[in-house]
Parts: sequence; structure tokens; C-alpha cells
Amino acid sequence: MSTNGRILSVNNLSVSFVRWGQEVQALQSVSFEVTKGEWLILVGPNGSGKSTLLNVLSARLDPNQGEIQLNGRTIGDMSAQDMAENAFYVHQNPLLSAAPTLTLYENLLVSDIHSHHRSEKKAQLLEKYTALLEPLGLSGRMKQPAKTLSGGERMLLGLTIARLRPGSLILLDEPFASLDPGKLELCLKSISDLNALGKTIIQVSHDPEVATTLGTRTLVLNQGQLSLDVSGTKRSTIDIQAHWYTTTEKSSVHV
Amino acid sequence: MTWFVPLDIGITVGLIFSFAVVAFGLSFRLLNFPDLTVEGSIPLGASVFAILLKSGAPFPLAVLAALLAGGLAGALTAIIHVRFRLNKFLAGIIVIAISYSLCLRIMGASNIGLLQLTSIFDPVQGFERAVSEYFQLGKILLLSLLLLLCVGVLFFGLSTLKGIRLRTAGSNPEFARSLGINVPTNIIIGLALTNALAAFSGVLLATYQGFTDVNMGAGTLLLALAALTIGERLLSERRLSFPSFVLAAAVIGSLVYQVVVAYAVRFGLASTDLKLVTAVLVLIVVAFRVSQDGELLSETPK
Repeated sequence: MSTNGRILSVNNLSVSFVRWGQEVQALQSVSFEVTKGEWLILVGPNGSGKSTLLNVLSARLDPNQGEIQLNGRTIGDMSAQDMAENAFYVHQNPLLSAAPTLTLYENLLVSDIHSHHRSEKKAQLLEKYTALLEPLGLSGRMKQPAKTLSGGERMLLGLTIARLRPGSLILLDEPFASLDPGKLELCLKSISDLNALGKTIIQVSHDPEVATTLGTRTLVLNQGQLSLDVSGTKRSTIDIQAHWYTTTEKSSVHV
Repeated sequence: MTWFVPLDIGITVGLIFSFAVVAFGLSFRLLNFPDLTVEGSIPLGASVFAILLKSGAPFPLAVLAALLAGGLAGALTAIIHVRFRLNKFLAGIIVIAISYSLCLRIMGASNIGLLQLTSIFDPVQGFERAVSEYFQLGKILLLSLLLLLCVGVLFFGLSTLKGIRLRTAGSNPEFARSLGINVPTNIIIGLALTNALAAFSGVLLATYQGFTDVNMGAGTLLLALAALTIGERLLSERRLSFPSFVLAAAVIGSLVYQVVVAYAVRFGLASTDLKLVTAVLVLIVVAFRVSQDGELLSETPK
């Protein structure tokens, strides 16, 4: 597209909502751009606006102000169908990352654009899905409903679904929450595979270590504002946690 | 030689109601929509069928119009829920109320007799008399055939990509939306189909008992819930795919429930106590299930 490899541009984004009679400013004038193939870690303390930003990016929440361009088109003007073809959101709660009463096969089938166009036969699809689930240890459970999977397994299923989606932008809300070490490793591998396939990833985390060791770029959100944006090798030298705690304390003086 | 009469009646009535139980099971389990509308779409379907047949319309047309009326009732419930965000139960209650008045308007009376008119059972009447004077074998065979056809079509439909998309919309609406599936449209279509099925149950019931009554749907919901609960208890979800589990549970549950009721009434259960007994039966089965395998069957995303 005519955007020189830019997949996402967020311009002066503000979101506020009324909670219990009080206005909460969740995001304040947030602007940034994302290039195709980046793996962005969005980090910040609880309530900093990470999930709100992800909700706006996935068109599940309308901003009060500002504009987001996804693949050169304004998100507000895109239909749900367009949105689904350009971006995919993996829910924070792994229990919501798939349809629980559908089998793994059906979950993958309904997510797979190739099955819709009937460009692949059932045997081919089955073979493809088996190959995807094999490394996750789930290929033997193709005919079982997704609700029989554990939380960690469902997160892996959600990431496999993301891989089958046509959209080049994948939004992940705290994918590592409540995973055991083994699942964590598989989950990490799945995400880096997605990135290697050319998908752009925006991953929300509240873990400062994740923010400096994973991905290609780190954005720090603090009280609804972007307070840091670093990429490359510089990231490992930054003490993100110290950064956000200082700003929180500073602002608390004014309250 | 009358010990099998309740069995005969139970199977026949069970087959007739199994269409409504299947309808309720599909909306409840596959669409996650505990749809109360069935209680209204049964008499609505029956009234439309009765008045058209009585005014001389051809039999197939009367049946088709009944299915359409049931479908519209279901679609209305779904629209009230998805467009006006009204609670699923309240949406159903509103449509039941609408159906009640509509039935009276359509029929112009609280009931219509159908005994002298064309019946769905006409083709098997001669056969039935020839085979046995006690058993309604012809009706049972005809109903089984219709049910088999209907369940077969449903099973096939639910395993196509369109069917899987419909089930995704029911199972996890948010996930469905993220896949670009139009959830409201799917719920509307789904409830229209299930209530057309319930209306067909109404048509069969009206034909079987020889009249349509505005109150003929009353109690169907409890009956459907009881039948479905019993059916799910009797079958193992592990051996079947989820749609076939729900379909089979609805049919088997409906048959078992009606046969048991027929025998219970024969052995002295007052029909006035039937609802109480059914309600207690549902509670016992549910309590037993919860104590045995937790919430295995009712897992819904929170």
C-alpha cells in the first residue's frame, strides 16, 4: 500500500469514559506509528490505559478524539468485516480466545480464510491444522471441544487461530498471564513464529522484563500517556519499572 | 392388553413434541439463547395452520404459513434482544404475550376444531387400521420419518461452514465478531429456524388432537427443559459431536419424558400435579448432574 511499510498510525488519540459518576481519562493524546513486521511491547502499570488502547485499535471501543489508520484506512470507517480481515485480537482471557463448544478443528476451520474460499479440500485442511497443532501437543485433540482445553492450551489455540487469520496485525492482551513455564515457552515460540511469518504484533504486558527482552520495540504507557518509545538494542539498558514508578509518584503529588 | 397403551401414546406425543424440544435445545445449547418463544410459537403455528385449513387453503400452504409465523415470532424475539438489548428472557416473554393475542385474533375464538379436515395423518390412516386396532403404528412411523428427515437436515446444516459460523456466534459472540461473523444476523436466523420448528410441533399437535387451542403451548417450556435435561443425562457427550449430542438428547429425552408421563398418569398421577412433578424431576436431574460432574455441560464464557 501507499504507506511505505507503515501498517498503523495513531494520531492524537484520546479516550475517556464515565465510571461511577467520575470521568476517567484513559488515554490522552497518544500518537505513534508502527511499521510492518514490528513486534511492539506495550507496557505500563495497571490502569495505565494499555487494554483501552488495544480495545480502540481493535475497533471494540470508539475514541473520543483522534484517528487511527490501519493499512491506510481510518478504523472508524471500516466495517466489522474489513476490520476482521485486517487485524485480529486475541483476548486476555484465554477462555474467550475460541468458541468453547466447537471442536478444535471447527475453531480453526471457521477462522481459516482458505476454508471459506474452498481453495483447499477437507483432507488438506486437516493436514495443515495437524501440522500447526503438533508442536503444541494438541494435534491428538482435534475432535475435542475447545472447552476441554486448559487455559494455557486455549491461549495456544488462540495464537494458532491468529496465524490462520488474513489480517497482518495481531493484538495480544497479556498472553503470558497465568501460564506455566512449559506453556510460556510454547506461547513465546508461537508469537515469534507469527512475527517471522510477517505479522505485525502489538503485545500488552505489565511485566517490565518482558518489555525489554521480547519483541523489537517498547512503548511505555503511564496514566494514559506515552512516556517512552524505544527500539533496538538500547532497550535492554533501560529500567522501565523505575521509569513508571517515578512518574506515578510525581503525579500523585498533584492529586 | 392395555398395558402398552401409555407406551403408544407416550411415543406418539413424544415424537410430536420432539420438534419443539429440538428447537429449544438448539437455541439453548448451540445459540446460548434460552428461548422462551417456543411457548408462543407452538399455538401461533397451530392457529395459523387451523384457520387457513378451515378456510379451504391447500394443506401444504397451511403448514408453510404456520412455519413462517413461528419463524417470524422467533426472529422478533431475537431482534428485540440484539437490537434493543433487552434481556433474552424478557424478549421471549414479550413475544409470548404478542402471540397469545395474535392467536385469538387469527382464530377469532379460543379454539378451532379440525376433525373433519385434511390431516397430515390421512395417508397412513388405512394402513394403521389394517395393522392394529390398538397401536397408532402409522402415525408413529410417519412422525419418525419426518423427525429423522428434520434431524438429518439440521445435523448436515450445522456441520457446514455456515452452520459452524452460526454456532460460533452462539458459543462466543465476541470471538465470532473478531472473525467478521455478523452475530445479530446469525442469532435472528437461528431463532427464526428453531421457532419455525416449534410451530411445526404445534401443527402436528393440533392435527393429532383434532383441534387448536390458544392455550396449547402452555407448559411446553417446562416440558422441553425436562426432556432436554433427561436426554443429556442419558447420553454421553464424549461419544458424539456437540450438535449431534444436543439433537439426540432432545429426541430421546422427549420420548422418554412422554412415555414416563403417560405411565405415571395411567398409574394414578393427577394431571393437575404434572407440572409440579416435572419441575421437581428437572431439579433432581440437574442437582444430580451438578454433584457428579460439576458444570461440564453448562460452561459459558464469563
